[in-house]
Amino acid sequence: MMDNRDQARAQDDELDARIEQLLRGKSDAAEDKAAEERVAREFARLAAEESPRLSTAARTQGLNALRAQAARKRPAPRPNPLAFLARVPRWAQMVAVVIVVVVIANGVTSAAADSLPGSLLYPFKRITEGGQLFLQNTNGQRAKLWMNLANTRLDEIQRLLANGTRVDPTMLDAVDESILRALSEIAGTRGDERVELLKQLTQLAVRQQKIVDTLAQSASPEQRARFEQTAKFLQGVANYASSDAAAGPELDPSKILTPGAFPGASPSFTPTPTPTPTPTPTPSATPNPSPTDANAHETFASPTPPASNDDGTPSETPRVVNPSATPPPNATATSDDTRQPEPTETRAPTETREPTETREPTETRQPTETREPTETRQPTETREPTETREPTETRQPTKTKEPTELPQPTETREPTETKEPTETKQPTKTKQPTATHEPEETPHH
Amino acid sequence: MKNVFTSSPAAAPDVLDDSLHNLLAQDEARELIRRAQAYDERALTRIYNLFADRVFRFIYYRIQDRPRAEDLTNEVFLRLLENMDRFHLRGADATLSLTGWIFTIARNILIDDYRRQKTRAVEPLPEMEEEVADTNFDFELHLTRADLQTALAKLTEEQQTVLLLRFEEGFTSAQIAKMMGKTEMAIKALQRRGLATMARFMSGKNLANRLETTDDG
Repeated sequence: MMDNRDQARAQDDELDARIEQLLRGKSDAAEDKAAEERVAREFARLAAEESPRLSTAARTQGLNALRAQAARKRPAPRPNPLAFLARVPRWAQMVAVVIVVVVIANGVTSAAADSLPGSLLYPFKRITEGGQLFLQNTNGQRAKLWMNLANTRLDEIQRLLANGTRVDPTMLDAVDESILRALSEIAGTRGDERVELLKQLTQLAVRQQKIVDTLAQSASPEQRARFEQTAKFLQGVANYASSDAAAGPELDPSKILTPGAFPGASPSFTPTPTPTPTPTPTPSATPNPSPTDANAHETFASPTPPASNDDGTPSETPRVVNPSATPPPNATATSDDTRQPEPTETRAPTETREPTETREPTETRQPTETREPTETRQPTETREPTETREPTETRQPTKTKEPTELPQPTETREPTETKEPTETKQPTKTKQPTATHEPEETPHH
Repeated sequence: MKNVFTSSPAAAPDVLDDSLHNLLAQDEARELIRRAQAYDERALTRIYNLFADRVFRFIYYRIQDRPRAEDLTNEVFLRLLENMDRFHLRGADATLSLTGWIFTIARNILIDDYRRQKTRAVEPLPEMEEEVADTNFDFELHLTRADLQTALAKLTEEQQTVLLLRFEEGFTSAQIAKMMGKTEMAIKALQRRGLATMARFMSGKNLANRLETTDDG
């Protein structure tokens, strides 16, 4: 029984192998033994001949039926309230979504813009402001924005006081800080833009100072001191800005007084923090600028004539135009109702510059060499605010903030200088191995 | 499954040159199935164009009625579409899995048709245990397609399927075994028995023809 089964299996295998050869065309008819092999040969021959195919009509009919059935089977659009959207093109849907998002964001932003400290939307307002700052590309734009923000902060304080709400003193810090930030951004500007910004800052500071003064009068006694402190600070800024604006157009941008230190190179701005520890050197500082200015005029005072022309062209700010010739008086008149002495000090350098109108050398690179004097000058001008601040200890932190941020560049500078020595070191290192090699070899020999 | 009994000296590879695998690679088969299951029209069209002629041959050989074979062929693809979501890949060979599925549907369609027609038994001939006495097999064999179809009709449904897949579609016994869910040995046995039955039928027919001619002479 088992033998029969094995035999049958062997025959199955043998036939299958023959068929495999047959289908591959590797078998000879003469080798066929069994009747099955002959039938298989005929089967394979007929299959290799032309096979019956589906007629074109049947094929078309079958495909159409298949496609129609598939269309029915495909998930039908669910009846939903938004079904009409399916007919709206995809791009239109996306545009609509974007519009909705923008409208909502706009609504929140504008609603937040009117919010006051303490309200739910106020943090959103500050975030929006931060975003705006992020979007500004130039120092000038950022300076303007900071000035706007200073206005906003003061406006908030005014409104809070009008509402009878207690004003947190830190809100005045925010005003101070915004203005200081504007100052530091202005430091990065040059030429006419710088002058314009400084004038705007002057006007802003003067206006704010008046507001703060009035606020101080109506404020509670303990708050009054804080308001007065800010008022003083604003006045100092106004003095500083006006004097600098006056000097600006006539000077090579990199040489302008204190701010001149900023534009010349960002690292050079760092010295400004140092003046706070040493406020006294006022006399020594003031003399320095005048010589440096004189030097500047001697070597390259070309900017003055073109500057005057430039001032003449912008008719938008007639006030400013005239002042360029005689800026100190205007600035002092607007800013200093009470304290004229300080501006007069700053006026002196501006006047000294005017006389020197030598257009011949227009070499702007030299300023880099004259940076050192500008650095020495910074203390003198920055000192003015420091003097006003001294009465209040609270403001010093705000000032110290800038220094802490800015000193970093100076640190970065040092490494660049130290790099050169490192380069020189490398050759010495490479030499050492060679030197050590030789002694090793010599003992061997 | 080990092909213990494959003693083929030709060392037949899994795939013949003209087989479906050359037309439909594994990756494409997988993608095709995936898209067809989403009722993607292009995927379904591709499946139809790949298999329509093969299915038609498979059916036409067995019912010898062209218009009805064409109708049944199209019916196969409609049923495929109906059951598309229930199709699952079996084994690693996606092409073979899809092919086996389509031919299984064709077989079911044919069986349904047999029942409807009642004209032909699904199993026309009883199984014969013994082999043909091939020592006496001496007739000169030259079959026509009609002869083949007539002889094929004498076989069981499984035998017909095995022989058609083997000779017409060129699949190996191992591939057919996978498609039909049987062992390779079973396929080989079906193959030999089917061919033996056809030979016996031929020889009987041949003998009858000879008798007729001798009577005439």
